[in-house]
Parts: sequence; structure tokens; C-alpha cells
Amino acid sequence: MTREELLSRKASRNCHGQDSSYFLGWQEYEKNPYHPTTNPAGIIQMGLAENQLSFDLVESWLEGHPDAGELKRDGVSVFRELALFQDYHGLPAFKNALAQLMEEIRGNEVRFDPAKLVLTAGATSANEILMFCLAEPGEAFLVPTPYYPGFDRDLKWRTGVEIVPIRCSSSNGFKITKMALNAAYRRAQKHDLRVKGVLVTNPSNPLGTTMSYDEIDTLLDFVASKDIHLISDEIYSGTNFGSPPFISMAQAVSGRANILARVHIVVSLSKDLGLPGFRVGAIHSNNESVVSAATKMSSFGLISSQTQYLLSQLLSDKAFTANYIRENTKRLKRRHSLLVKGLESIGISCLKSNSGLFCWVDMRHLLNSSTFEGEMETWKKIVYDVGLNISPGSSCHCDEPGWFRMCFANMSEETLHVAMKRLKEFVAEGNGNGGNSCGRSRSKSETKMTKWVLQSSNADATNGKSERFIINRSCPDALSLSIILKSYNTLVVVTVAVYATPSVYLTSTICTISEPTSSPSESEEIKDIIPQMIVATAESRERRNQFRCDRKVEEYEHMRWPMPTSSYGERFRLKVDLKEMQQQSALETVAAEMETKQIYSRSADRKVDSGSVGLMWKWMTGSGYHRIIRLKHQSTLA
Amino acid sequence: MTRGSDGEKRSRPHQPHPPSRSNGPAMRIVVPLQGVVQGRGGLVLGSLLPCALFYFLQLYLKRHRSPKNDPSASASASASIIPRTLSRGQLSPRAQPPLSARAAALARPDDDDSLYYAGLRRCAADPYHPTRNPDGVIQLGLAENQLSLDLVQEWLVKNAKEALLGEDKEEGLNIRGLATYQPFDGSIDLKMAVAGFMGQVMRGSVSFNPSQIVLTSGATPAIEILSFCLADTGNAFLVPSPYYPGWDRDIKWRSRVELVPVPCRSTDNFSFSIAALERAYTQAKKRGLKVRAVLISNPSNPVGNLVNKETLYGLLEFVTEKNIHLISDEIFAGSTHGKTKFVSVAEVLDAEALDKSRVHIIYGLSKDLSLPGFRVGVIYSYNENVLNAASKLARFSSVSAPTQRLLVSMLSDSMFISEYLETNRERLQRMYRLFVDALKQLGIECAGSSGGFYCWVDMSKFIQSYSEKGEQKLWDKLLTIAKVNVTPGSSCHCIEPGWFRLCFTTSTEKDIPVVIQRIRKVTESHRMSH
Repeated sequence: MTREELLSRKASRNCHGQDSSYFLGWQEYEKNPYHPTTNPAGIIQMGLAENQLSFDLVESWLEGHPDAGELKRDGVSVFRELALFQDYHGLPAFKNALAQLMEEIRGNEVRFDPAKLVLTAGATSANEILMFCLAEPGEAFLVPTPYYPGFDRDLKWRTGVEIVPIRCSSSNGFKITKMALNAAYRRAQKHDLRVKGVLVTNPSNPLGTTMSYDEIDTLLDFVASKDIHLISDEIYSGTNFGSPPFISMAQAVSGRANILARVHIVVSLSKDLGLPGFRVGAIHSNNESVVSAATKMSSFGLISSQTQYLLSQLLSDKAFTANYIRENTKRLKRRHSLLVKGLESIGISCLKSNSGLFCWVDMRHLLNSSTFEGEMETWKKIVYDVGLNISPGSSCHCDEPGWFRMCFANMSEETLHVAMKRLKEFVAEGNGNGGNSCGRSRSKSETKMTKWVLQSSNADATNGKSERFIINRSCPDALSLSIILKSYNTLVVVTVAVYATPSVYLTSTICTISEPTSSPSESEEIKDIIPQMIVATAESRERRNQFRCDRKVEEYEHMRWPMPTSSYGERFRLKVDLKEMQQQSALETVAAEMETKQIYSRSADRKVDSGSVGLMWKWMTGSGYHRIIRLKHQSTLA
Repeated sequence: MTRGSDGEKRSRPHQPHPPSRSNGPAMRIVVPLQGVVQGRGGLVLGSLLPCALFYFLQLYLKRHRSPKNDPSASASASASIIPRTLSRGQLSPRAQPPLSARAAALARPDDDDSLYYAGLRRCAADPYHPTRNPDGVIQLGLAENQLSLDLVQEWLVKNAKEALLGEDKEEGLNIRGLATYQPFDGSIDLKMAVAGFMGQVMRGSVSFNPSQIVLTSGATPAIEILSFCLADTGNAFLVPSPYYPGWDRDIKWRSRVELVPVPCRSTDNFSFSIAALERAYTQAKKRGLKVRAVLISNPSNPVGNLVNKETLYGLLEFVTEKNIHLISDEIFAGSTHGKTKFVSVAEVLDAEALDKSRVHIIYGLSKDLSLPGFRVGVIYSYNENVLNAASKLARFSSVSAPTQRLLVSMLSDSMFISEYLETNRERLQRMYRLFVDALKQLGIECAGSSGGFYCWVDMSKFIQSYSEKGEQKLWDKLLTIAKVNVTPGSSCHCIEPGWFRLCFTTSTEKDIPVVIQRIRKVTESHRMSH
């Protein structure tokens, strides 16, 4: 018997995610850390979500209040009380102060009851405790992608709980949609996983965005209808520096008595106050059983009484907290715009964000191939050659290659400038394929694109060539084609999108499928049709003088299989405007035609029946994003 | 019970219920109106056609779709009368979604699973104070040492400021080392300081290697993390009983490791023997349990006896032969008060060429430095894989940075530490003697003990029926009549009824007569009734 066999599976098996590129980059950084004077060629750490912008505020407070650190009250030592204090209910003074800080951060619009608060050694531990409380080993939680790489370890490792990703795509700014939620739920069921809840980070890590009321509504409806829990990880609540303002789940849920007891909020001082070293996290829940069980479980990660005392003093100083929140968001905003503008000047754009200590950066055009291998290749170049440790999207389980998370608050402004300079050189060296005029050519293609979008939205059918594809415009910067395949159980929509990139070539092709395909024959069919779709997409662009496509089908060879699923268009719009009105009559025509004709005729036995027409109709009308702008459905179908 | 309700909930999705989003109706109402208003396509195209189409569609769907597959479609006809705003309210408030069995078992605020916790709660509700609450419950059930707190406090008053500011005063207060992310398994400074402290506690007989240390927030997570590392769900540890009542929660709860008690008897002064371990091992195997480790506490909690060198050798042989691990909980190593010298398993390992990789030591500052509030626990392991895994798991229970910094300077002050350890031992010794002598006056005998904060006392002659029930009755009397909270032997899985654990380090010398007087109430009444 070997030694490894002696250990538990948790200890010996490599299921803690330590070897993901997220941690790999850290190790690289630790070997060769940047220092402005002693190691100017070292790696700059941009993978650490730490807020060092407002340390001076905490420092000066501590200097002014030495009693807090020395365990004194009015100059008299309170050590005796604290030395023996190990009650897992926490120091009342600290809990009150923490609850008030959380209320203050949320604009005093919600109430955090200290009695519903469970203190833990950091949010890491808080999330794990909630998992222990809410799910058995082998049950599942749905988590929207991209998500914080540490979750793979924090949520799954010891608890045995599975994460089922809710696949979000860049087409709608990685928002959580009803369709994506349902797809994830179905996927979990397909794998015989019982779904116990949804976990979201709001403000999102790694996106830096906050959830809108609509999104929260969708989520809460989903949670209510499936009878499951919702964990809202709000550890970045205090970093909301821009509009729209952050909406806490506590606010959103206040009017909904029926789901009050299944929403659990995780908060922490690591990001809000920039004190990760203090290891302070907390769970706020309206569910008494959860509070009671979690309190008992918190004995596995209690906060030292000395730290609780120190923080109770710090946080009860209202003048300090008010000033801190104001000043901190101001500094974050400045730093954020510095990074965004810096990236913009070298032709790299970011997802529009209003919170967090990082940007979600779009480097899809710098990838040699639009695959995760391509992303790794670029990432390695950036870490080893450029000397920036950033986190690749794949480590966050992003479904689209080419996105990266860059942190901006854990370094000085000078260091950020150095980082920007390095990145600029990298881009200029032609590591994308845009060359020196990269930025300019990008903006050119963008203007062209806008024109085209305008053209096509007028629903002009200038080209007489018949197509069996439906062109859609589900994402603003992509031209895409969809084909609808009728499968035995589900309606499968394959979308091929060709993205506008700085180069004149077709550089990036994204394929998405609305439903995961289960049968191999279906997959084969889709596989066969995709190259044709790419060619068709590319040709339609060429016709519009938009792109010269000389890399059409080869592109497809690099694509990942199976394809990621997308979440286009499940949002239903209440407002139906004129355009959609026209669209509907178009749809009706299609529906009528589809009843008599085959939509997709590779195998003759696959006829579309009126049942599937109804489904398709429903799907199309129910999709606000999915605007069918041109429909040609002629004899070539046969 | 939970199973049943689970089944119910699982079946719920199949029941048709009004859709939360009633897309269809809204569309039908709005679209025709728009057609009229815009005047485009006229009434026929704008409203009649879609209406008719939709009507037939609905009709079709209704006939051909089972409600199971598309509840929203089948229910939409009936739901069309209901305005959208109401549909949400229609969802009747359901029972709460189920928690995990783990949580449900402990969610009840007053789980009376163990008298140990019940007693602690009673005490917390009405604590004794010589002047403010002289009728309150005296706490003899905890495991803390209040005898030497003044020494630590004195040091803090003198040094806390400097300790927090850091040694380099010219730089002023530097929060960078405090606020930013620190290694989750403890800073290397504190590991070195702790290794030094542990060496001092063992009086130089062993030297500890800082790189074999993982720091956690208390010994509770330390033992849990070790359990996670060494055993899978359903595996078992052999534990000589009586043992510390908290282990049932710390080890069994989340890591789901079974504890198999190895009963020890008063005739051996509750020391375990290898033969007993062997028996328990075979029995566990027969029950189909996979034994992964032997877990001992040394000095033992609750008895207070030490494991001698010979037994340690035997134990190491035993675990090597069975190819299992040994966890030695030595959190009381520095709190000895007897004449016998404490021998750490590390010392035996140093002397012999044995396979060290199966040995793990639990330590902490809660007992030996009387700092339970600071939450510092130690895993000291000779197994690299365990250290790797444990340091990653430590992310769930790290020590806060300001506390670490404070402790680094405290533990590095070796003058203070050695003085503290000496004085503390003297005080423990004195208090122990006073307690044992006082109990003797009542005719209560204590088991032989040379370490820890407890007297393990035999009160079997005061129980009415020689059983666990009799013991519980006496415990209840002690708590309600005498108002003294002690830990009953049954909580510690002692197989002989009538034994109790009394902590002597939470009281002052002045309290002893009060305690004795109170216990006398119970013992006298027992004598009278016989």
C-alpha cells in the first residue's frame, strides 16, 4: 500500500483546482515579483483582487486610536475579557458595527440584523459553510460564468457539492437570463444532480458589473419557481464606484415574503475595507435554521477576539466609515478610468463596469486562434514575455476565449503605467495581427459596422440569393447566421457569428448552440452544417464589402467541440414595438411555410411538424434580442 | 423524516402551476391594438390573423402537449384572465427549501444532543460572580485557564504597541503587512515563533521544524482539517475513551468520520493499552469500518494522565503494523502539574528510526498560553502530502494578521515565555492540590492526573442507580441544586458511570470553599436518603 492510499481522497486527489492557470500565474509572479527599483523587469501582479488604494485612511485611524490595537478601553486593558472570549456568536459590539457598515454601504435602505449575522474567518469560509448547510455531497449549485476561480475549491472541495455553470455570453454583456438559468437547470437534471440553489457574485467577480433589477427579478422568480436557495456573494458591495448603483439582494428581496428565507447574503471586509489579512467575513440570512447551523459551524473558523475588538472600535467610528466609503469609491473610480483609457488607447476594450477591483478585458482580437488554446498561448505570452500576471477567462470558466481579468487596485499608479506601457509594446509588436495602426483600423471597422447594422435593420432584402439560414443580430458587433434544426425533443439553434475585429480578415468565429445536444447523430449534423454557415456568413459580409474573407472554413478546424451553448434571446419584452410587429408577420409567413416544407433537409425523414412550428414561433417572439432581420425561405430548401 | 419531505418536493416540478411569466396573453392583447393604432396592415392582418393563428396554435398545443412538458402552454388559457402582477402572488408561500441533513440536525437552537453543551448554555445564561451574582451557576465545565492571565496582560500592556507597530519604529505604523492577503496557513514568522514556543514547552527535549507547521484558527479546525486529510466519509478513528466531548462535533459532523471509542477503565487509571486498541480495531473491521487512524490526547482530556514512553512505542508499532495514522493531541503539553515528565510523540520519533510520515500532532495556544480568544491552532505533521493539503484547507480557517503579529513578538520573547510557563505550572500545581484535597473532604476521589485543567472525579457512590441514567440524574442535581456545571462522564464516552470532569482553572482559591459547600448539598442529601 503506498502512502498516497493512506490519505483521504480529498487530500490526495487533485480536485482543489490549485493547478488552474489562475494559480499558475501566481506562482510565476512569486518567483519574479516586480519592484520599481530592485526588480523593474519582474512580473506585475494584476491577478490579485486586493484594494490597496485606501490603506492610508485605515493607517491614520489606527495611529489616532492606539487603544484599539492594544486591547485597551479608555487606557485600561480589556485583555482579560478578550483572551477567553471564544463565543461563536461573536463580540456583540463588533457584530453591531459590522451590520451598520453593511447598511451604510447599501445606502441605509436595508436593515442588517446583527442577530441574523454569522461571523466567519473570511468570505471563503462563509461560502463553504453555506454549502455545508444547504447541500448534501453530490447535489448541485448553479453559478453563472465567468466566475471567481477560487469557487471550484471553496464550494466543492470539502463539501462534495457540484457546480453547474450558468452559461452567460458576451452578446448581452454576460447577463443572467431566464433561458440560461433554465438550460443550466436542465443540464443538472440531465446529469442526475439535484439543484439546491444558485450562487451569484454581485457586484460580479470577475466582470465588475452589478445586477439590474430586471436581472434580479428573473433570478428571484427562478429561485421561487424551482424552490431552491439563493446565495448572493456581495463582498464587493463597497467597491461600487459608478452608476448604475449597486442593488443588494437584501433590498430586492424585502418585498417578497415568500423567498425571504431562502436568500443568503455573504459579506466581508476584505474588499469593502481592503482588509483581507484580517480574515473577516459574515453570512446574513433570514432563515433561522441556517443562522443557527452556520453559527455552530463557524467554530471551525472563528475570528480572533483581538481582531474583533479592534474592528469594533474602527467601525463604530461613523465619521471614519462615511469618509472611507466616499474616498475609497472616488479613488477606485479614478483608477478604473485610468486602466480603461489606457487600454482603449492601445485598441483594447473592456466590458463596461461600475464596481470591483478589476476590469473584464476583451482581447479576442489578439488571439491567434479563437480557441482556448489560443487564449492560453496569448496568456503565456503576457505572463512570461510582457510580465503581467492577469487571469485568463478560461480560469473563470468563461465560455468565450479571449477575455481576461485585470486588477487595478493592488498597485501604485506608477506600476499601472508601467503595465500599460508593456502591454502597448506587446500589441505594437504585432502580436495581434493588426500592426501599428491597430487602434485606427478597429475604429474604422466599427463605423462600417454601424452603417451596416442600420442597413440591415431596415430589413431590406436586396440580395436575391436565397438562403436557408436566418440572419440574426443578437450581438451588436457580430454578424451572425442561425440555422434551426429540428431535433427529436428540442429545437436546436446553431448560431455562427463573425466578429468585427481590427483586422480586415475574418479572425474570430464564435459558434453557439441554444441547447446542448445529446444525440451523437445530431452533433454530427451540426458539425457538418457549421462550415457551410461560416462560408455563408463570410460571403454575406464580402458582399457588403465588409470583410475580405480568406480564412473561411479553416477557422472551423480550430473550434472547440462540443460547442458551448448560448443564451440568446430568452428575455421576453413586454413592450412590442412596430418593428417587432413587422417581424411577426414575417414569422407567421415562416411558420406557415414551415408547416409544408422542411426547414432543414439533410435527412429526408426529418419533417417539421406544426408542433415544432409552434415552439419555434414562441421562441422567436419571446426573444427580444433575437431580431430576425431578413428571411428568405425559398425553393432551395427542398 | 427529511427523506419523506424531500420526496414531496422533488415531485413538485411536475405539478402544473400558473406560469410566473405569462408571455402569451400579453402579446395577444398588445399586438392587435398596435395594428389598429398604427393603421398598418389593417385590422385583418394586424389583429385577426395573429389572433386566429395563435388560437389554433393554443388549441393544438393543448391537445398534443402533455402538461408535464410544457406547463406554461397548457395553463396559459386559464391564466390569461389573471393579470401578470398577480401571478407572482399566486405562488403560495411554500415551506422552506430543505437544508442539508448536516445543518438540519444542528439547526435547532437548543439541540440537547449532549449534556456537555446543555450545561454550557445553562451556565452562560446565569453565570456565577462572587459579588454580583453569588447564586449563579459556577462554571466547572469549560476548559480554560484563568490562573495566569495577569502575566499575559502585563506583557501586553508593556509591549502591545511595539508589537503591532513592528520592530522598525522609524517606518511608523505599517498596515501593509496586516491588511493585505497573508499566507493562509500562517506567516513564516509566526510559524517560527510557534516552533520555538513548542520547543520551550517540551523543555528542549524536541526541536520543531517551522516548515512542518500549518496554523489554523484554533485546535478545532486543526483536528477537522486533519480528519479531512486522513479519512474519507465513513472511515473511522480509534479513540481511547473517555475523550474530549467536542470531538464528536468537530470530527464527525462535517468530515463524517466515525469515532470508535476504545474503552479504558478506572482500574488502569483510564490509560489505554495496545491490547484494547487491537480488540477495537478487529471489532471495527468486523463492522465493516475502515480504520484510518488512532487519535489520542496527551496529556489526556478529561483524565489528565500522561502517556508513557513505552506505550508510545507500542502505539507507534501498532499504527505501523496496521498501516494507519496516529494523531496526538498535545494541546495541554505545557500545562502539566505533576511530577511525571511529559513525553511528546515527537520526542519518541526523534529517538527511533520509525516511519514518521504517519504521525501528526495537534497543538494550540488556547490552553498553554491561556489565549482561547486568539484562535491559534497548530497542525504539526511529518507527512508532506498532509502538510500540502492542510495548508490549502487552512484558507477556510486562517488566523487574522494583527493577531499573528502580536503573537510573533509575544512568543519570541523567550524570557517572558519561560517565566510564564514556570509560574503557570506552579499555579496549576497549587490549585490542583487545593481542589483534590477539598474534594477529599467530601469523600470524593480523583483519578491520578499530572496535566490539564481537570479533576476527573469518581462520584459513583452518590448515584442512585449504577447506570448512565443515574449519572445524568446526579449531573442534573449538581446543576440545579448545587448550581455547579460539571461535565458528566457519559459526554466523554466513559463506560463506567459516575465519573465527572471538574475544571479547576476557572476558579480562584476563594471560590473553592463555595464549590465544596455547594457540592456538599448534593452529597449530603444523597447520604440522608440512604
